[in-house]
Amino acid sequence: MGRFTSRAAGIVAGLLLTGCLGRTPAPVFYTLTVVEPTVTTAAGGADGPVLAIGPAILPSYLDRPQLVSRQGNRVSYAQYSRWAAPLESELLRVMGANLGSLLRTNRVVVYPAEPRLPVAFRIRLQVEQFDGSPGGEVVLNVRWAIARPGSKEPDVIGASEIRQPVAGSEDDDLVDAHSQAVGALSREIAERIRSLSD
Amino acid sequence: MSDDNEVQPPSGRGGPGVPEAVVEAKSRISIVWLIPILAVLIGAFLSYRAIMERGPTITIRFETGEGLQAGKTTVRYKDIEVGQVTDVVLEKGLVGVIVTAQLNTGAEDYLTDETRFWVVRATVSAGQVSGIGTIFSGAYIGMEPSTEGKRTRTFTGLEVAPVVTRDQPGAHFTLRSENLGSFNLGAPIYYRKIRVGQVVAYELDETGEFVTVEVFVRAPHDKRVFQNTRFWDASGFDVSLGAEGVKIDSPSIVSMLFGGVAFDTSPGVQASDPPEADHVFELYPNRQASLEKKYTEFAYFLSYFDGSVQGLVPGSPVMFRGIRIGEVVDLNIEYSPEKVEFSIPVLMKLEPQRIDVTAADLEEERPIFALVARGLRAQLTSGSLLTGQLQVELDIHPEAPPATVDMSGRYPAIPTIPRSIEELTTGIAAIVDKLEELPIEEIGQEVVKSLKALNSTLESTDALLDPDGPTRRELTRAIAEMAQAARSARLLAEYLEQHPEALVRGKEQ
Repeated sequence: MGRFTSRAAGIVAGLLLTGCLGRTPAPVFYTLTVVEPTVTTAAGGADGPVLAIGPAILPSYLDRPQLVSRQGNRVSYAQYSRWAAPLESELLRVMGANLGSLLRTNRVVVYPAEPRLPVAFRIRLQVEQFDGSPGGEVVLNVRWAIARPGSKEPDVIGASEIRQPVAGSEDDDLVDAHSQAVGALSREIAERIRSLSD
Repeated sequence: MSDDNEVQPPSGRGGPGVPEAVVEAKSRISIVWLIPILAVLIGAFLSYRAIMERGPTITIRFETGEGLQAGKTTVRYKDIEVGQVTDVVLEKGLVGVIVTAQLNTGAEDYLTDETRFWVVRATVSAGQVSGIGTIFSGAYIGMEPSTEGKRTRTFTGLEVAPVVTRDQPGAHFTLRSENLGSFNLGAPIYYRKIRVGQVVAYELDETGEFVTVEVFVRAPHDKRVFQNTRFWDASGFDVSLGAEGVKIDSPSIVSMLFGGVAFDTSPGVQASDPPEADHVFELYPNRQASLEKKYTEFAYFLSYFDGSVQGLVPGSPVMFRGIRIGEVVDLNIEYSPEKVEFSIPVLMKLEPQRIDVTAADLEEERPIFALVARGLRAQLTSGSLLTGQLQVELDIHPEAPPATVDMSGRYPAIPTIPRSIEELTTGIAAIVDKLEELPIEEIGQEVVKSLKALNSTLESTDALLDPDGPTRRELTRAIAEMAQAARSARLLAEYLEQHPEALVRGKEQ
């Protein structure tokens, strides 16, 4: 009895020692980047339409900090490559910046901030898929709605599936492809908004 | 001496050569007699002295000879021996005892029919113990000399030692009470709870209706008794339940146990004249009663009520315009076989002294006739909605159908008016009055004020909910933080579930 106890204690101590001695590598954090050039007030952005971006609904599998890579139906999470902020807020932030540039306006309000001005267009997103694989492609599958205030139903409801090839096999390339995909989506939506405001 | 006894010379009588013996007449009383006469004179003088020094002999009649012994019992004044009992005999008829006492010289001047004698024995009574010394020395006869009155040598002794002797400065007052109360002879008199006197005597007056109590108030407190001074029985204690709660008014323990009389002059009333010698004060049963106005004149009136008088009892108040002027004394039921009707005569005792008459003197003997002609009516009203007690309300109702005072019975009857109609009308009038009293304008102003206040409240609520306001902002942040924390917790749990060994070994490389 006493022998067994001492042996078990020895095992546990050894395990603890090895565990404590092992070092967890530091994760790498990524953000999405804005692909369009920023429009400043001097460039006439002050008079543009008021855009309210958000909210965006993301599938649960994306609601985590790890980068998601997909092989067919199999997804895996990169334990040490992470989004610096929740993907939803990153997506909206970059979308807002892109749309502001494309529609030449500074008056962009991104969820959860409240618009103080009469909103011209409100854009809502429902993301179906937003992942990719290093060396493969990033797929951004989104349903979106553009609504003008006062109308009960959205003015435009659309769906986009953007496929963006990943240039390399690194996580950096995968993130860059994500940013490009968001830029492409922004351009599509900006196009529709322009057609609505004309 | 006679010639026959002498030898005659032969020459016969008066011979010239023989001198003749001269016969001298002897004095009749011998000098020897002087001595007894002197003795008698001295004796007479001595007995005169003895009699003069003996002082007067008096007789006192007592009911009982308890403790009195001839040759032993003394007569004392101020505890100084002034005489001695020489004889104690039964009175003729065996009713009492006759005590003969020899007083010292000089007592004659103080023996008048005002002089009082009594037997001092040890007594333990209410609140005081007296004559303790007599337990050892035996009883003695106390004396209170007096120079006023007719001189006498025959006295009737007091059965009870006088509480107050005449030489004490102070004044006696006469109180009149319905009953003796709970005090006794010698009970203390209090003025502001200070003992200033004693009850000296009490007796039932001739009619048997009142008890006359004589009290003695020591100087200088006797100067505090005025004509409007009120005496009350300070025995026990008063517990009164009033609007201000329970009030207990208690005198000293001694008077609580043994009784006592207190007096005071009503505050607020100007000190009136000192009482006259024959002034009789009312002795009130308690302090509260002494403060209430007491009325000595009563007038009795009847009123016949037709309806139910439930809630009306003897003692119910009789009001005149809200002021109590009397009370109900008796209730009865009368049945009239001729009319086949019941009616309830209510006998009321009114206190006319409560009503000040402005005219100097009433010309009419009974102003009630004029008043009834003017519309004076009796009416049952509810004295208290809570208890349902009724009272009789007298008032002038000029609109009432004419009626007269019914003088057929023993008491004059004041006509009545029914209760319900009047109450209804007064009820409506009261409601109308209330409505008139409603401060509509003020209410309007208050409503405006309230609305303004409400408005400002809403404004501040708005400010609270303002998206730029700190409250809202912090709230949003707090919710976001909570979501973040929940997310982190979820991820950790998820990772640990997938890699439980990470707890020990850390994350895999």
